[in-house]
Amino acid sequence: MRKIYRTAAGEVEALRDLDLTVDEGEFVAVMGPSGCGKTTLLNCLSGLDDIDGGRVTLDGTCLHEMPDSERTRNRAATMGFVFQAFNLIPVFTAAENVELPLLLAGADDRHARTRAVETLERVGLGHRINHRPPELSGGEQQRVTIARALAGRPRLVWADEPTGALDSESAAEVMDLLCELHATGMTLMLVTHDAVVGDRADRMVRMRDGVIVADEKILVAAGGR
Amino acid sequence: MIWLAVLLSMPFVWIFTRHDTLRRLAGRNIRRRPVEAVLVVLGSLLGTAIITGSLVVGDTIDRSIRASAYDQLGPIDETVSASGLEAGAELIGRFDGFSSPDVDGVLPFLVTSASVVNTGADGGTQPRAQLLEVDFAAARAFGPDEEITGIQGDSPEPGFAAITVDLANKLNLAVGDDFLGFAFGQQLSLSVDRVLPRTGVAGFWGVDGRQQSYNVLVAPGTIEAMIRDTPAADAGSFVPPAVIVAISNVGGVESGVGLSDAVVATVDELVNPLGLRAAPTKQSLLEIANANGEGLSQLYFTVGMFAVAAGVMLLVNIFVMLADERRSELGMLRAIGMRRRPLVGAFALEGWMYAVVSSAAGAIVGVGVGRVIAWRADSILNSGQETAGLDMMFTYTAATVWTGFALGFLISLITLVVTSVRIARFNVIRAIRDIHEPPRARPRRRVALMGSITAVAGVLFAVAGFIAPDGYGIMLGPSLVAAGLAPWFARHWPATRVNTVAATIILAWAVVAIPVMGALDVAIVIPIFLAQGLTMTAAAITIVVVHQDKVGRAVARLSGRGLPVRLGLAYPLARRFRTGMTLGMFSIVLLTLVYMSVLSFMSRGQSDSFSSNLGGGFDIVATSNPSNPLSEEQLAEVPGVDAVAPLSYVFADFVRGDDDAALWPVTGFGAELLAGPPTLVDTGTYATNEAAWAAVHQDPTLVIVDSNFLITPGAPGSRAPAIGDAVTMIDPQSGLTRELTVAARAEQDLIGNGAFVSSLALQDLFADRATPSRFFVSSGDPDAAVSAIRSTYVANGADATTVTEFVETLLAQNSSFFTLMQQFVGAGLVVGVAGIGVIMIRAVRERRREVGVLRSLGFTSAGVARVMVFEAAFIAIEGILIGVAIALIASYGFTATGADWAEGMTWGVPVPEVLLIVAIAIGATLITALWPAHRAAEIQPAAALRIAD
Repeated sequence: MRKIYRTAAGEVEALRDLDLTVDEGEFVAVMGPSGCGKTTLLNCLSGLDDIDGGRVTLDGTCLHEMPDSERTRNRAATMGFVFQAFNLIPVFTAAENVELPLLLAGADDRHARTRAVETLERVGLGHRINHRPPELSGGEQQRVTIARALAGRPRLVWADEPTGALDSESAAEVMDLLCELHATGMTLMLVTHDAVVGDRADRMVRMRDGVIVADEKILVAAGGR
Repeated sequence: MIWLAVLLSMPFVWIFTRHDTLRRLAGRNIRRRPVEAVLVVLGSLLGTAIITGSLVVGDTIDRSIRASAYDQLGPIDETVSASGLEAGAELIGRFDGFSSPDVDGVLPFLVTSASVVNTGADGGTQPRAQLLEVDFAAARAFGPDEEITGIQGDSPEPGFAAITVDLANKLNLAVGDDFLGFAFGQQLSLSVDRVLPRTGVAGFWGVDGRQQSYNVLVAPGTIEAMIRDTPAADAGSFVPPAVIVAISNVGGVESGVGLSDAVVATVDELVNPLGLRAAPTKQSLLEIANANGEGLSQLYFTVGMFAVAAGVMLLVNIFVMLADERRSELGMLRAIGMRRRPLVGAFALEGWMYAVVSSAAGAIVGVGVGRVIAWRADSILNSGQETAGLDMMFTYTAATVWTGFALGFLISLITLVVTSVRIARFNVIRAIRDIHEPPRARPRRRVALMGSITAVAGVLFAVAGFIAPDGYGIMLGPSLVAAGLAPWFARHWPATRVNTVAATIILAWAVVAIPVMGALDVAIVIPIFLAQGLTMTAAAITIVVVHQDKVGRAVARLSGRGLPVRLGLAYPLARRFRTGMTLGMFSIVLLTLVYMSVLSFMSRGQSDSFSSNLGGGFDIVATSNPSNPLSEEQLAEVPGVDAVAPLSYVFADFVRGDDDAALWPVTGFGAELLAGPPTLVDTGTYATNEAAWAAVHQDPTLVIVDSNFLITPGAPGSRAPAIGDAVTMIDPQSGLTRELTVAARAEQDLIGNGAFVSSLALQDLFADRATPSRFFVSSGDPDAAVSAIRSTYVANGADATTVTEFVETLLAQNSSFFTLMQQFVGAGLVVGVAGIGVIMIRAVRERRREVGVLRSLGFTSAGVARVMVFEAAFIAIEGILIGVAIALIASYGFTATGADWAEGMTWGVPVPEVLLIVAIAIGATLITALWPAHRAAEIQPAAALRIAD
């Protein structure tokens, strides 16, 4: 896969002949220094961004050959996203934010709300369902983001620096939550530059200047990782 | 005004020249968003354009009416008039050897009304013309400048005539053409030897109020010869010619008027012994010009202010959104040590640049707006009866353009400074983190205190209003009390409830206040309606904004709670101030458009009742040349004519109380009218319509007036004399007076009858000038009778019009005026729609991240576009519905005013017209929202999230 950004100053090749296969149920951490192309990789793999060469296939279907509307529907049905900046809709309550993907997938109001409340309770925010994002702490907002990503029971969750804006205690709580969800069988691909976070994955992909420089399985020691 | 604008700009000029960083910050923000900068300038320039346009309309109307005074009268400043040749000779004799340091010319001439017929193939008839006999050599030497006398060459030879250009155009007459003139039962064969301008002596027109001069200047001795040839039996049955002595004051056409009072006093000493008096002719015309100009200018200014109010709300919205967008930037500037004042300065500097450019461009566009209105008004004003027509002479002064610029600029400046100060009061941390300030649980003590002061001021204003009585105090006083007490109550009770109650009280009072004023006999000036409209809009918007969540829930429920609907409602419901301002923009414009539409509809709907009331048992108004009048018998002979009521018709000065005298028509009626008199709207102390008319016929001290009697044209600002009031009728020629008492109230005078008195009363004061020349005629086939009268009695200058045609022509003219005003205020709709455009464009930028998130969650690009369009449509439709609702309520209140000018109006709604207005507003909004919606749909999720992260 190739990805080029064209700017007034010239072209920047963000991803260069990159090749990666992720199995269902894997927890992959992508690490590397700032500007190495981690977020671009995630955006291209998820179909949020277009690519300039190569193919991204999901269950054998090429994502970038789909029309935008189909790719969008596919995203709604199979994927969840967690962003560093939370990216919650500020004028919606926590519950309204979480029920968004469910409504997009065609769930009725009542079911979407029930499921949103359940998911918020699951991430420990049952008491905050009617609060709007500005009224929540950073850790709480990120948990709402995770709840939103999980509410539709996606098979694949993309997490871009999910702990980047959090203190260490909140970051640990968020990672515990993601690991717990991964344990239920969900495929998780996480971008981070935090080694502590990356160490909790099954597999570590290291990038530099738009290419993968290392791709290694993390061995699980007896009684822990 | 312009100096105030310059003065208030000084701090900005100082910042601009001395603070490089602030200037760069402001300048680069403009350059960064060129499309928005253009939209902001376009939105706010409309306000200035509307203000300047209304001022230019005032200039044009003022100039057009003044043209009568300056161009038509030329050197004539005062006139003394005597009826008949003998009295005229005596009058002329009084001026032998007359001299005054204030006077540079005295010119006697003789005039009489006549009818004129072009006997050629392409000819026509002018029933109202004037024969004018003057010594051309003396006339050319009259006053300071021969050019402005309008007289050229020597006096015409017998059998020849010089005619004015108006008559030449009307009858297709050119030099060498022959035509006939009729007066005193005589026929005069004349040939055109020259065509003169409508100026000075040549353009002098004393027949009626029309702007045209249909003058035939004949050889000396012509009129005297015609009278001499009139059979003795007929003498006394026509209005004799008038000898006029015109006086020119020292100075030019305009400056000479300043001496009028002194000259009138001097000349009065000379002519009073003859039972005559001098009339300050030019000064009076100028006063009428001023009143008309001011009235119409005020009308357009007030109507335009609704659009300006929409523009102000757009400006506030733009700056609030600008501040929202720059919250982090402004917060950072505060965090790194920038004090509040320079921060406000930096922010306001950008607005100041917009204000300068938009006000300058708006003033220039305003001249064009004024020109279009003047052009449209010209065709409307000249579409009705010629006597009420006015040729619009487009003009504007530099002072007007500067004033328009300064007003627009000051409104923009004050708006942006107030908004900037409000914006600067933010919490630095919240601003940096881009977190909106939470609403206060209850108002600050300071706000409550200011509210209390407002309430006290409101009480004083209301009391003063009721005592005076004054419309502003009555309308605004109680509203200020309610608005002022709200913050105080909100400290103790739930704010939602308190604000709802206060706004409901204000809304209800704004509706009720107009009928209350009507009941209290308060003069309702046009700006009162501006105050009413703004108050009602503010109150209604407050109620809706306070309960916006309920509205949103209802809309979501009705539309099936689809996700685009919920997303589209989210921002309007969350950003209530911004939504309120946008709602205000729409509702105030729709309020004005629909209000005028309803008024126009109600006015048109009065046609049948007007015709029936004004005509009574008669169907036709017939007029004839006073110097060669028709007789009752002649009219009765016309096929199809069933009955005839002869009427005397003159212009008299009327005075009530301490007011200045106003020249007004007055009709004298005889017993014939009592067979089917017009229907009165108020018979006063008389049991029946017939009883009231009979009483006035028998008692020469009684008068019947209509609701427009003695009201300054252009504005329903004052009230006509009430039943029982005394008015003084004065003969303008002699100064003799008669005291009259108003006995009853007639229907609005759409056919120019003026006041009604008994013919005996009129003849007592005006003698042979009150010879009947006007008639009410009844006929089974009015249209056929009108044709017959016109064709049978050309020599008598006979003209006839059905009462229905009079009424329909005038109502159509009124309707056209309403349409013109709607088009004028329609500019406000452009402001509203441009506002939606600006808001949506900003919304797209502001919500780039949210759009990215929605797209990442699986929301399609079409879905994003639908959300944006729904949001724009929701705000627009809500604003439109509020505006329409207020307009319907207010117009209903209007019919219940009890005011004279709402008399007889029945409330009704022109549903197709209102639906068209609504459809245009919604359609324009949707079209405007399409482009921002398309831009939102085009946002690439990865790019939006990358920028956000």
